[in-house]
Amino acid sequence: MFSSLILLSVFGILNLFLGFLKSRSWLLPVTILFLLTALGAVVLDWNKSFYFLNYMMSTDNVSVAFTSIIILSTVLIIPLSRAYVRTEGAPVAEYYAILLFSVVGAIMMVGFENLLMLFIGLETLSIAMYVLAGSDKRNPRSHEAALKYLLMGSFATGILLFGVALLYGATGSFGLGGIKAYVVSNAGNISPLLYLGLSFVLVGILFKLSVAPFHFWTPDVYDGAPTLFTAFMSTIVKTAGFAALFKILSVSFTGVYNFWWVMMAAATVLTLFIGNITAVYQSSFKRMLAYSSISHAGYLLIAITTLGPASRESILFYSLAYSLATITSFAVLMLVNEQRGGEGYTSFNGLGKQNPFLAFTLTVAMCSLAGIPLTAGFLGKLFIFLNALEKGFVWLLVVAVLMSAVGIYYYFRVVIAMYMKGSSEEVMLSDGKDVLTTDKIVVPGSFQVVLAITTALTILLGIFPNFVMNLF
Amino acid sequence: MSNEQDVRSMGGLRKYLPVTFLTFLIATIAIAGIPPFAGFFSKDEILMHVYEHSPIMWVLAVIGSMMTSFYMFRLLFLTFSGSFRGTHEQKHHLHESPASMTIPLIVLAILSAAGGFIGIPEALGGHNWLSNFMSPLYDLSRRVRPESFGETHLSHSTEYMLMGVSVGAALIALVIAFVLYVSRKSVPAPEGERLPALQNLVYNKYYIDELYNNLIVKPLMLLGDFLYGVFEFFVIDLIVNGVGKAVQAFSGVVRRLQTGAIGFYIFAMVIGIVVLLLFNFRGFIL
Amino acid sequence: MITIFLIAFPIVAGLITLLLKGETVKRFAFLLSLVELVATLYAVSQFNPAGINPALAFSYPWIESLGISFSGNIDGISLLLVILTTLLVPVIILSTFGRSYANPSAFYALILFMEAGLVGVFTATDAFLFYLFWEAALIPVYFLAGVWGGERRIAVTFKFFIYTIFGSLFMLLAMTYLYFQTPGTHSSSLEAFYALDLTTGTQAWLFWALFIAFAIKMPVFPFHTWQPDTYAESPTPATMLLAGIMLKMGIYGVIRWLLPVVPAGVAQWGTTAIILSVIGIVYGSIIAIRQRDIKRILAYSSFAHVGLMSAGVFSLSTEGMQGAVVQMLAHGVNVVGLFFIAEIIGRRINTRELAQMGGITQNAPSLTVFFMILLLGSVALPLTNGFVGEFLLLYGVFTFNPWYAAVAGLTIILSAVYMLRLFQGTMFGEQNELTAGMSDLTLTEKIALFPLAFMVFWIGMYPAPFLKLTEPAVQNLLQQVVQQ
Repeated sequence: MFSSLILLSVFGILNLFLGFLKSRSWLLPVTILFLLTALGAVVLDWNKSFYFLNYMMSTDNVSVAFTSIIILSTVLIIPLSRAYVRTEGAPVAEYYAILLFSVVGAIMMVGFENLLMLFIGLETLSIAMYVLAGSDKRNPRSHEAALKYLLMGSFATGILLFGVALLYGATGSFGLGGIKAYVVSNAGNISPLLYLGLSFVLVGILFKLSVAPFHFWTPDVYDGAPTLFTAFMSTIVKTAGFAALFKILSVSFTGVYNFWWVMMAAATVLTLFIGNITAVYQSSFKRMLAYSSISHAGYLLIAITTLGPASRESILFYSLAYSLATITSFAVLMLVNEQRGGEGYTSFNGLGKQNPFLAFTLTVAMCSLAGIPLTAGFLGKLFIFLNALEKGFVWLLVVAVLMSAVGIYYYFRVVIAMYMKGSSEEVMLSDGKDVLTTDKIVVPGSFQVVLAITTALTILLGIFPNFVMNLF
Repeated sequence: MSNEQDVRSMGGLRKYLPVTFLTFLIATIAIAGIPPFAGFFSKDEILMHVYEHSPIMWVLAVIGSMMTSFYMFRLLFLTFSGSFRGTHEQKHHLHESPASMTIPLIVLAILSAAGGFIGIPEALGGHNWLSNFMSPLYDLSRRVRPESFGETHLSHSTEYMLMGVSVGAALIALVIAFVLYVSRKSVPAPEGERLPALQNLVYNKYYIDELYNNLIVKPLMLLGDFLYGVFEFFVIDLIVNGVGKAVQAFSGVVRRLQTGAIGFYIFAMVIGIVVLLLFNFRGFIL
Repeated sequence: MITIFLIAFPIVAGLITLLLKGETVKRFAFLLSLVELVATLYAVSQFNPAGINPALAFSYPWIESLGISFSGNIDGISLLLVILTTLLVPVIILSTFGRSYANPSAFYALILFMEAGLVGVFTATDAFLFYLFWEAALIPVYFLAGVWGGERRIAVTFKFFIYTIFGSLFMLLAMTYLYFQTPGTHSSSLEAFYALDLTTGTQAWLFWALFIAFAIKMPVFPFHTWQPDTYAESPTPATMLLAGIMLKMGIYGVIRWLLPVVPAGVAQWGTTAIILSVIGIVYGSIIAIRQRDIKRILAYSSFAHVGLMSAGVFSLSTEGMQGAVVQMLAHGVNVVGLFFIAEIIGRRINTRELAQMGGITQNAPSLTVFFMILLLGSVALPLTNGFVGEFLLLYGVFTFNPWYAAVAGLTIILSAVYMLRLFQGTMFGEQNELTAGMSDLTLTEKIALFPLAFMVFWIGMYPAPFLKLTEPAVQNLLQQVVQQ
């Protein structure tokens, strides 16, 4: 973990220098190579457990697994940046560098042992995201997204920092171990400051995870940001955020479970509700995916609310399944938007006939997100449900099950558009001015590889989850 | 006979359709229950079991079989004996059916003549080959009421008596039919002619068809229309689709929360935090 | 091993079919489905109804850490349904020879995929594996209906899809709950579920969670409103799969996963289930009488018939259960044949409106004969397959409560009414412009219908082999229910 942290930081700076080279076609393979090297460095730490950076961070199998998921997702997302490489004058090297730096931030969020490290990681990741969200300089919606994200993000960061300070006040420590020691030794006589501090820290993290009622930025930012970076936000940020939330609660605060589970449960229900119900109304596929990301935060939150021995596996598996399916969806969306124009469901009409491969991969992704068997998403949900039932949260599960049924409705709308609606029908944009083309989409090689990998993994994990589950 | 089915327009067909006449004759004898044709054996077995169960029902059944014998012979005589009563045009076209129709008739006639021999009752020194056919199905009924499935307990003399009575009844009916329709050559009254009340009731089948139509068929149709036209779509499906519609409508409402105004978003966040703190620290406040 | 082959082979066959192009795909798919049928017959030859059949069972660890295994077994009930599935799929594929569907390789691959899902459902003995196949069988038929269906297909099939998944999510909920009630390191195997000892209150809500899933699938009144629309809008092969086989998934689910698992729940709520089923019988039959579309008549008739099967199963009697099992086979045969007849008529005269038909028998005597045979089976005339099943079913309901049986018995009269109305309306009467050009069955159509007609008589006249095949399994199950 430590080596990967250093490697990625160095690679990011290297990337900036590579930007001076004339040929930009090198950038993508080199960046992927960098990431794979870092992944190798992470995996080397498998089955080792140690502290580093002066007890600021630690590594164990859970953090190695989370880091691997994050780097793997990045490796799968970066090849989708083809459009940027082609665009004249786009600062591609800088984009890649920022992405690498944000991965560094994400790794800090996974491996932190000290709340200050969590803060630094969160900020590194967030600032990178603020920049990337606004990277589409000619699109006012991209500006709006960046500004909204920045304003609200700063607000949330302030709250988080305040919470950290309060925790320090209550326990005299920034370290997870120190806080845990306080919680254990003062059981029954815990300072209200700790409760207040914990509440604020949780709010800060839940904001990043777009958990209701702190989710309002999500649809606007996801919608406005360039799709490539939306994909990045909804996978890497989410995985890192849940890793952090899981770590802080499971390491330091299991002693005060009775304090925080109620508010987590309330947030879970609200998030599931808002995410799924609002997604029903959307006519834009991209905006639907934004709400879907909110609703998946809700499912993951179930595993946190019902924290138990099996939580980490289920969070890990779910994050992986969710990331794979989300990357597929955004990849297909990018192609459709680029070559057909429009991000609405109607842009997908007749895709099943024109591009069977694209349609199939997107169908698998939708099934996975909707939790249909034979996909990783189903088993992810199943593991989370099992985890919840083990703790006796039947009512929470009933809510989740009802909301899954709602989920099927909006996920399958795009499947219906692809297979059951003809491309021959004239497809009009909602404003009625522009007629979309419904020609065959040219799928570049890089997309083909990424889609093949994500889809194959989604199905494989859906049938043989042991690949991942047996690791723990 | 070009689709004519009214016996009043037939008569004397024996000459024109000999094969049909012969097979019809055999069938009539069989159905009337006159030995040794098939009908006798089946009817005899049924009547015997009925007698065992209740002699009154047996009497009714014998009367019924007597009537069968009467109307069958009536039909036979009206159709095939006497002289032709149809139009000249029809008479001109009378001819025997093609082989494709007569061969099945002959096969059936042979069966109805000889078919009874596979189930000769023991009283007549035979063995019933068919009594255990389909037995797996009735296995369970047999377990419940074994006595219904057992061999008959009647003595052979009683059986002979029963056979005699039923055969006698059939023969009496035959004679009555012969006297009425062959000797006296009476023909049923033509359509439209006023009939005596009782005969009218019988001719209209006791008006049971009309009764059925008004009491059962029409209400059933109305009920069907109601269930399909109203209940199915305006009750059940309304609830089913209503759930979907409700979710959608609700979604339309919740969606409005996403105003796009950042001030509102932060306000909502603050409200969220306040509620959360109020809840978490209710102990300190109250 | 043979059982795994039966599940895996259609998947492989489907994948191969996907790679092929052009109209020859259908012949290929037909051949592959015949191989599956032969494999089933081999399994039948290996089967010993009275004893246990280790040769037909399989069990492999799947998600070891959670005690979830990839395991299945074939007993008499399963075997009968596997026979039904593997017999009907070739017939269904053969029935499509007369017309061509767009993108045939996908069309036939989906049929084969569905076959795999169905065989999986009927053989799985692990709850989660069962759920997996349960959904896996749904997806192909959803696409079949949604892509190749009629004008209103999108809305109609979407409703069907969401409705059934909604139901099955409750089943998943119940199964996960049951899983956690198993002692030790939990297990999701059928035996572990059977061994559970749950309180009556728990069983009551589990009953409903499971019942709703199965009731939507069958469907039982009042969960049926997806069914007539879906049957009418789907392409006929999909309708046949839905009515002929998929419907049985619901009943099978009740027999295998509901009755023995939550017997106290059944004791408490079984009567309600029977009442709903009996209402469905009469309700469906009466509506069928007034339908104008021939596929809709058959749809409502199927709804009514399944009501009787469901009532028989919940009567918890050997006869009712045996009747349901035999009737599943019989109904599958009849309904597939009848939908095929409807398809043939609809395809030739381009309408399914009963009012526009008549006099078909004059040009199509063979069609008339096959129609009559299947119809008689459907109205349960003695010596046809329907009689055997319905007689036992009514008997079973009668032992439970004579009054329910009396109402349920109306099915015999009412089904004769709507079926004969259907027969009269199509076959008899005057020819019109449409029906005058009607041609008789082709050789392929006759070949497809022949096995069905044969089954009508075989089961009707000599049901003993089928009853003997399933009796020990039925007894085992009932014992399981009574024990608790």
